[in-house]
Amino acid sequence: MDNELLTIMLKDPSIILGVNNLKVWYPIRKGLMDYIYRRKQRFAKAVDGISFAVRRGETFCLAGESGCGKTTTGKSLLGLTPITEGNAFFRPRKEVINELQKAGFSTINSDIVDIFRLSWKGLKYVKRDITIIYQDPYGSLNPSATIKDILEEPLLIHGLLKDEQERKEIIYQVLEQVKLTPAADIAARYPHQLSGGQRQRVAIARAIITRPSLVVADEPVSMLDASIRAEILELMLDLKRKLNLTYIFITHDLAVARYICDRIAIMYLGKIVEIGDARRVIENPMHPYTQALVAAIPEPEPKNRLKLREVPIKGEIPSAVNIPAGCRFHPRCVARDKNLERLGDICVKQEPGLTTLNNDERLVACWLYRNSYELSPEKSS
Amino acid sequence: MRGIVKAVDNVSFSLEKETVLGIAGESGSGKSTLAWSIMGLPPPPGRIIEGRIFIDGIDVLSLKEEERRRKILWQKVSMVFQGAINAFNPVYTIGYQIAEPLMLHRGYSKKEALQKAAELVKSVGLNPDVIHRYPHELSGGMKQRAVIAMALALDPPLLIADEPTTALDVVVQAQILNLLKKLKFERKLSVILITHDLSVIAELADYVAVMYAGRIVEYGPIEEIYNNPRHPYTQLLLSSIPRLRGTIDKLRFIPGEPPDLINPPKGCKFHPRCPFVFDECRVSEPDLITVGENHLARCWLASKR
Amino acid sequence: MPSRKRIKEIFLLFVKSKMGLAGLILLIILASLAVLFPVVGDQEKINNWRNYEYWIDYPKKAPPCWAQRNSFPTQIITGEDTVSYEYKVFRVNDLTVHSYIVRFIIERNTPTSMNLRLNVSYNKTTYVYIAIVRPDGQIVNLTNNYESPTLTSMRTVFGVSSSSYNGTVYKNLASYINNPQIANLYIAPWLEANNIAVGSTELSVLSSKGSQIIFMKLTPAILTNPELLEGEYKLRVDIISRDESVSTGFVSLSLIGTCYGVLGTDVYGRDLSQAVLYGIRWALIIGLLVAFVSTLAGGLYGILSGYYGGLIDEILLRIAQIVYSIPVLPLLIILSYMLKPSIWNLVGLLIAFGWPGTALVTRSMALQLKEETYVEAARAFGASHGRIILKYILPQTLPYLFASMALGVPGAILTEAAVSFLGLGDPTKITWGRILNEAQASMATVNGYWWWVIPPGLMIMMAGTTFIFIGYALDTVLNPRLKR
Repeated sequence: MDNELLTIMLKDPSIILGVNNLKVWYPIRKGLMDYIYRRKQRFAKAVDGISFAVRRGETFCLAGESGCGKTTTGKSLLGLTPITEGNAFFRPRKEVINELQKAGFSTINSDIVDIFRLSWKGLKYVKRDITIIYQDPYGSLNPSATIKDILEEPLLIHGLLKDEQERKEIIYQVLEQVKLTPAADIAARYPHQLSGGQRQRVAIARAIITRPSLVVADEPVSMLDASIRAEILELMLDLKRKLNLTYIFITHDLAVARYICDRIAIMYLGKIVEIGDARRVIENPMHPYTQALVAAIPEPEPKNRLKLREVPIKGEIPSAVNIPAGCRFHPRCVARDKNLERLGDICVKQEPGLTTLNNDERLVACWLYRNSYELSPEKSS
Repeated sequence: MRGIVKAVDNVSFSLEKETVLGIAGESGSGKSTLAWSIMGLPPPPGRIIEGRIFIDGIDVLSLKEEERRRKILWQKVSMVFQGAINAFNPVYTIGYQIAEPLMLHRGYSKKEALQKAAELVKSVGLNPDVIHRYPHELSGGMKQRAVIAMALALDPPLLIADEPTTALDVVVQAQILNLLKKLKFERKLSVILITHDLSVIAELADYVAVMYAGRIVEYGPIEEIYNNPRHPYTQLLLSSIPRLRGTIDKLRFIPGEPPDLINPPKGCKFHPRCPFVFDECRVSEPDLITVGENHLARCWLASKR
Repeated sequence: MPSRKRIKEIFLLFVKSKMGLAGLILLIILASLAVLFPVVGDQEKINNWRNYEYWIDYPKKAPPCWAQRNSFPTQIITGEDTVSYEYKVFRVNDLTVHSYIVRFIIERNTPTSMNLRLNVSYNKTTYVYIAIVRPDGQIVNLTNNYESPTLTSMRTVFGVSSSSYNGTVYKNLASYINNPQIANLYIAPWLEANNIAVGSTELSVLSSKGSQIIFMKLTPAILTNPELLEGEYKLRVDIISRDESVSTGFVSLSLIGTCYGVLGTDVYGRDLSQAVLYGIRWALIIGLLVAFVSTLAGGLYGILSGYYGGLIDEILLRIAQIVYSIPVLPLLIILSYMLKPSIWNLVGLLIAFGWPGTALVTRSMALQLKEETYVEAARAFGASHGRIILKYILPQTLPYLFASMALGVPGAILTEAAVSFLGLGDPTKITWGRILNEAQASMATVNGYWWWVIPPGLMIMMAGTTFIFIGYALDTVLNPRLKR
């Protein structure tokens, strides 16, 4: 397959997931008028061509505001969204590759599979190895089932551990790993008998019970109280170390991202605008959007109340149906106004791709950094 | 009926003009119940058992419901509540809904009221055209601004804002907080800001009251509270927030769960989770003790030092 | 599936609500009556429902006896009531006599007729002797007695061959009892013996009173103001045969009054209480069968439609909506002309048109449930559509389905009653609607045969109410708890 990302992945076995040019477009229902006037089919472009690679054992963050496509990206890896275009090259555990090959699905190099090309049957094998933790601890657990039932589901679905007693033991084990004890007591309860924090631990337990390689965590602490968040984040880091997990961590809270993430990709309106080492991106943002995001975040610093917070951004987020031409951020870009002479009208005409900066440490999609518009190099870090 | 929950227990504070009080607390701390009760509308099945509330010199609880509605609600104190995005009636225009209190309470004619509504909407940073729009045509941030405009329709001296930015994106949140700051500076508006987010409180509040299990456990000027917290809960809460800037310290967290208010723990309500707990804490509940200038804390440890 | 504890919880709450308790009690009563019909009712009467001969001895269009104070309550004494009669065999000269003495009570009023049935088998000349013994000891011979020169033959009394016969013989004794001779032969001498003058005017009055006289007290006022002699009477029937091997059997003695039983009789004399009782079976069978099948089928249909969505949903939804909007009763009327009027056809049709209501509701539920985060989570973890439908969606709809099933029963019962009432139902099955249809055909309302019309109507109401109570109580208990 003639694919740059795939080539890189083949050479580097530490890359567990390579997403290439993912597009998720939702067709907008046509009204009668649209048929009469023969208008072209319009789409809500939730994800509009993103590529990234995730290394084994890292916490990779997808960050951005609501509507940027981060959740859609995460869910697409679990087959929950339609895929309009793109590949997701995944290196699952050996057992999963063997099962896929036995079932007749094609693999690349005997250790990579494009999960976007799998049928539901094939994808099911992979779902043992990629799991998800949802944002909502109240809604993501079946209210009519006991905790034991909820945790048993993945085991039953994948036909693991045929013996009921064995399953029970694993369930208790995993409850202890997420520090929900006494395990037998918790297992007999229903979700509404647990607090939000406890429920989220159950969600985490459910995500690790099949010993996956990759866990997609969709804003796992946003709906929890501040004092509990830290505990859950620590738990997730602890489990990552113990169980050799890789996280794709989706969040809108950059402060949390700075704390927990190794690398981060900032998304806006379906595209990645900046990607790099998490701490450095947040401490030294280069894309105007990232800069605005970082500037907008409040801090527990009392002096802040004395003056207005300056956020370098204009206007409102457009809808994903009417994406601005050229660089999709340009209508809101304050930096463009400041650099209009230099840029001319390229921001309106052409969409910038991701440019590497500082020896591949950072990629930014902005005309300010392209070719002759590159800024002075960053101070050594 | 399982038991009585003391959602708010023995809470006292006072607030002056052009001052913002931030009430910080997590879920179950009683802060929302407090907010509604100040308006005289404790959320059912709750009832106000004891205490008095004075707004602009008027004893709110001594008034009959009818009078309260006429004199206090929206005129002396108004509220922007959680989920305000859904506070609008979808079948009426924004303008009409903002104009309604003007017509009802101040006797404006429809034309005058809509004019005033346009002014209000402009003062919160929206295009005056918005008064002709319906709620579903507005984005979340715009609706939140419109809700604030509606709350200010009758020019009340006090605004209660309960989690005004929780559901909003971070950029919009910054814009709304800037708006509240502007209103504070320019209109001398007093605000009671209720939120679990200590970063948001820092953006606006002059004084902070930290609530836990229905009680105020610490109170004081914001610099004191944030730089010199005396109650262990406040301390732990502050150190559990991931920071965007500065060094990355390991986050502390508070073990355990908020208490069951039907059977609250004896003594200090925080003692089961407190890392500094000692015997006295288990036995009797401390009063609010002065621990600094205008700075109170409900803690035996703090009162010792 | 809800736990055992939860089911107990639901049951206790259900019983606590007055409606639920009332409904449950009513249901138990109805179900017991339906199941135990062979015990509480008379299966034989039902088996003979369309055999008009069976009902010959019964009063026609007779109201129930508790409603008619002055009526003689119809009694039918059969060969099985061994306490009500005695049987002796003896010989007189060279004749073999099989003698039956049947006891019966006369109160309130006199019977309009007395029908006697016997089984006899003989090959030689046979005679018969019939007499009535009054409570005051007086004996009235209806045929020649043993002291007469000749005995009365079988032919004279029963109209069958006196020399050889094998079978049932039948006689309405009213003709004997109404015989004016009775007055002459018996009453007049008795009165004279008691010093009461009996002239020709008195005689003609006596004659005209016929059967009443036999059952009146012998007082001087018997001519002007007769009083009923209440008490136990005996009917003596002797079969006197030259054939030694004569065999007889007592079949029945029917004393017909103007009222009958618990719920009276219809125009054919049929015991309506049995019909009404038996109708419970059909009502319950039809109601429960239709409700169960249509709710289950409709429920699943709706879930599949809502869950799969898209084109499938569009098609299934339209079909359901079309079927839903077809008016069932007119269609049933038309179809009843085209198809065999069998009750199972009716049940089938009721099911075929009863499912969309449930389907539309479960479709809404499925539409909502499939958007729940935990359903998406199940999908994320690899659950197939089938698993999600069976394990996540269906259990949440069960509370509604149970309540819907209960509430669907009255509709089915009523529709069947309506169809049968219109005469389009199954003529071989006894249902309440059918009873009403026959009542209508006999102009029951115009003629005031209220016992034919009101009881079936009340039963339809009661059966319907039972299930509505149960359904509403279930709904109240299960609904707010749907979201735990």
